[in-house]
Amino acid sequence: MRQAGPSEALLSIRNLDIEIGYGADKHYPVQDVDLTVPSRQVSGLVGESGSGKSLTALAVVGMLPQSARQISGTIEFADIDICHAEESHLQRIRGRQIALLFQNPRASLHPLKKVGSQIAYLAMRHQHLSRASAWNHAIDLMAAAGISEPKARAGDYPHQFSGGMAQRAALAMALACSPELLIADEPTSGLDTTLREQIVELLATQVRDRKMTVLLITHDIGLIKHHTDTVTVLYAGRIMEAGATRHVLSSPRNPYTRELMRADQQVDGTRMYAIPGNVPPVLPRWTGCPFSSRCDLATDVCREVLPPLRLIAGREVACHHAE
Amino acid sequence: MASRWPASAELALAGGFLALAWGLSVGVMAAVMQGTRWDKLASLVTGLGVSVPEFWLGLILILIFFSTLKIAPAPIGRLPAEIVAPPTVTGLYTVDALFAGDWGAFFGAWGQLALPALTLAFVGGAPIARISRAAMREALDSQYVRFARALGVGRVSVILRYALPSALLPVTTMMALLCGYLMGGDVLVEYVFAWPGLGNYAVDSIGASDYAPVMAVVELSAISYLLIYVLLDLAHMVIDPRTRA
Amino acid sequence: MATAPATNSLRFLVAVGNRLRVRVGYGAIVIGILILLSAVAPLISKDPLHIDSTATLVPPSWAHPFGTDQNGMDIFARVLYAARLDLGEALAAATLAVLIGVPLGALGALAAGWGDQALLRITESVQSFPTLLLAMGVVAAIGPGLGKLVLVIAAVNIPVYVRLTRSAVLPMRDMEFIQAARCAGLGNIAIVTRHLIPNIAHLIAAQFSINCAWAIQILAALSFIGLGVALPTPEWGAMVRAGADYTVYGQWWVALFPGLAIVITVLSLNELADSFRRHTSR
Repeated sequence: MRQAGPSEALLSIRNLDIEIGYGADKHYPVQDVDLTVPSRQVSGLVGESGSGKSLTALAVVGMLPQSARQISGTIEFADIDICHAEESHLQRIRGRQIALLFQNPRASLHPLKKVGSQIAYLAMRHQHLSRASAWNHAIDLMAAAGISEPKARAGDYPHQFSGGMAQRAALAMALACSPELLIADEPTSGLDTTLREQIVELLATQVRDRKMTVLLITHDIGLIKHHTDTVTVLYAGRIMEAGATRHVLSSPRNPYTRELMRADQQVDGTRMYAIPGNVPPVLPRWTGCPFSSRCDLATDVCREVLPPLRLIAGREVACHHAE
Repeated sequence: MASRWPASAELALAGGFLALAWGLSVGVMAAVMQGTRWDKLASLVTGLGVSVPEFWLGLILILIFFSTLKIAPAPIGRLPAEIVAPPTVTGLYTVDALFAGDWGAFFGAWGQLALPALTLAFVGGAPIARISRAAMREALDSQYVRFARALGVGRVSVILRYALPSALLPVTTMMALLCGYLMGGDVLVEYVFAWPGLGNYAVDSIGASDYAPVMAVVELSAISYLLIYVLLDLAHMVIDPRTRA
Repeated sequence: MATAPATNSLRFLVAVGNRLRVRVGYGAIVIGILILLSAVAPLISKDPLHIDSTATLVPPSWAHPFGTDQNGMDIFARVLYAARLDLGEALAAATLAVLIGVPLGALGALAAGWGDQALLRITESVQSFPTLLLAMGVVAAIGPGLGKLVLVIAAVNIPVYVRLTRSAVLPMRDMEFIQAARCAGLGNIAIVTRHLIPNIAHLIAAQFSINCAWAIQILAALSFIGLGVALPTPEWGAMVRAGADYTVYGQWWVALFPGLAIVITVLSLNELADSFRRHTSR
């Protein structure tokens, strides 16, 4: 299996469609989603909660929940066709090549085991280390993840860790597998601003130091702004805009992206603007632009015709009024 | 009364041990195989275990295995008629026979213990199966298990290393429940199998309209139960690191 | 402000009824059949107390579907009549437990403070104690007798309702409609009956079924060891005891049928409880 060179696509998702539920209750949280994650970069996937980000991540490692199924699209990781891979093959890929960090890191740690043991076990499995060297490696990883006094902390239990420390511990567990691609789902929710910056900095460092690739999934566009090279904007299951971060965020062409930027501005630490309306809780198959009900520029064509993803001004954008 | 205590203890220990064994294994397996026909079968069996009166079950077992199939010995107590009790070390015939090297007594005692212990175990193990199934299910659905899977840990390892320890956490609660059950069920089973324990002693005296022994047995059981409850509570604190915080 | 009492009661019943819509599963059907059979027992069976010394220990036949016992009494008839006693006693005990336990729990939750805590401690200690032993101890102390038995079994079951109601009412305590009702001048009791109980009616119903099952099991066990109902009154547990001596000799029918009746009844009651509880996923 060939290693992807820098800036080549390590992960490539095309036309991903996921449906959830049965019979009359079916809905479509991910619709026709394209996502390219270039190697050795930090890519961002941004959208409000309920936009389908987490499900996309789960699909990449073949761990969609029972009630969800992928009905079309391809997912290619370093020449491997994920959608048609056997479970045993997928299991070998998980951790060793792709590591997924879940939201709410506290829940990711086993409550009855010492944190150090949990990290060491993964190191033993994936890097075939002996018990003693795995324990020391775990301590090193905890230090690399920014946990102070890692030797003492390794012997602690998860309930003794704060939210920020738990996030770092979970990251250490992922790093113990030495993956090529790290997918971080909302790694900063619930943490205060300084911690947020630190965590994302940490992720960016991994790219540099360990030659990893990171996919950062978040609703916080401020994080995307400063730390990612490429970004994909998702709304209600569909792509709104995608491209190099410096292009997309400095001159957004999709009204939703503009609204996200606007909502991100703060005066004295408080957000002054909230996008009017709400993300629909249950997503139908869109026949028009999903944002049309909340968009200032919406016209009849927006409501009736699905805007195609077009290349405009150096990025992909789905909007009838993008020019 | 003191002479009767080892008999009850032997029955309770055997029954309790078997109950835990089948309850835990069936519960955990049912959770792992959720939705399959094994799970449904387990559900059926535990449903029966909770509904069936142990005194009646004992009689049915005697009917099937002694009266009809003739493979179980006569329910006349702890030892077959012709065997003499081994010298006392622990008071438990099954163990003492081993110490004395008396194989006749060993097999005889186990043979007599089989049906009554199974009766107690079937009924006592059912709630344990239910609780451990629920706990295992919760563990298997938890995020820490999913995270381990997402990081490449294999199915078997996940079940044994990550899910099982969490599922066994309520074991102290289950044991308290089991003890409580055994104390009551013991009385009934002893009567059915002519087991010379405290329970039978109490029932005999009821027949003679003498209620004092009943009170004595109940009080003794109450005190032992409370003691065991406290011990189990302490044990739980040792097992669960979160309670020590 | 006061509305006609009749309309209030009607609304209350409708609210409760709404919550109890139960899928008619095995449990409900079997229990229904049992109740029906025990009601018409005199019409379909012989006299359960009729001693016939010429027909002792007769195996099941057309004349005696379940056979006869050592006194020549027809077991089929006795099983049906025993259903009246066992089910009746179970209903009585469970109803008593509900009537006392639910209000206690609700008031405890609304009252808060040390009264609530004391209630919690007491129910905890009663609940964790092995029930059969408790029942045995009490009966040994105050003597057997059906009326006293009902009281004992009810008492043992009260804590469950107290805790159930308390934990359901507790989160509702600070809700707005309670405050509003308070402002309207309604006392605690009225608040409880009118607003809170209909919300947990299905849980109470589930617990009620389970309690009936427990009650039957305890009564049968007590009768089996001689602390309950005495022969010749037909009661399932006592009948199993009577049959115990004969099972060893192969006369299986004396003990089998009454025990089977217990198993079927308890199984159905448990299934009924499950179907009530399944309504929580609304």
